[in-house]
Amino acid sequence: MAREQRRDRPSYKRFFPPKRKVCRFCERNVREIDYKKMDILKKYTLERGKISPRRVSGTCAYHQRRLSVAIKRARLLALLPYILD
Amino acid sequence: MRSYETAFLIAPTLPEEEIEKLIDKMAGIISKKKGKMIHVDKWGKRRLAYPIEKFKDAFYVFFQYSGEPEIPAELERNFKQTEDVIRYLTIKLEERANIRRKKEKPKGKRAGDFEEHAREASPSRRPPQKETPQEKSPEKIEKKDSATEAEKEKTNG
Repeated sequence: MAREQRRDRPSYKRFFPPKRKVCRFCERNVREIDYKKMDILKKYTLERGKISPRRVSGTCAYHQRRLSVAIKRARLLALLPYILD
Repeated sequence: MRSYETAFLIAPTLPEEEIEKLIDKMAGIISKKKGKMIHVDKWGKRRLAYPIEKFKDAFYVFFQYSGEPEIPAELERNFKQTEDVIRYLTIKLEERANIRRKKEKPKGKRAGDFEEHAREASPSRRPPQKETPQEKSPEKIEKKDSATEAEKEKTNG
């Protein structure tokens, strides 16, 4: 009984379909991510200075790899902080 | 031949003439090793994101050059020796031919299919409508349209 009732009810996903995220680097056809452009890199860090995960930023796997390397390079040169508090 | 980019930070305590001298000295190493300097970028004094060796700011210098792999090795050896260089980083500039590009998918394939179906379906629908008196047919179509629209609204909502 209960199961049948549940089936009738429209699912959460159908009412609030998740917004499709598109990689912002793919959109602009960017190949390499420069570690010196910290204004861009800064957008991909969280408030604590952590690298934002893919599920948040929507970057594709290829660009996330490049992005993480670029952020780490920027951190070494003190362009970006390792931690913020 | 490879392209490299070397970045280094100079301590802010060093006077400006000395900084220029140091940059010239490092650039001299590249030319001595028969490397080709592509670009020198001087950002000047900049605030550090975190203190390095108790300095709060530093002079940023970027060298872009091409040459043999001994050049970055020699540069880094010099950086280690000079105490005024507080941080350095060398990276290879990649110039790969294979450009990664997103494969262009046939966009909205499903929608296209649907349109085709609609096109196929519409002429088959029309002939019987023509047979029926013309006054009634537009009303029928309107009714159908309104019904489908209402359904769509329901699904969207």
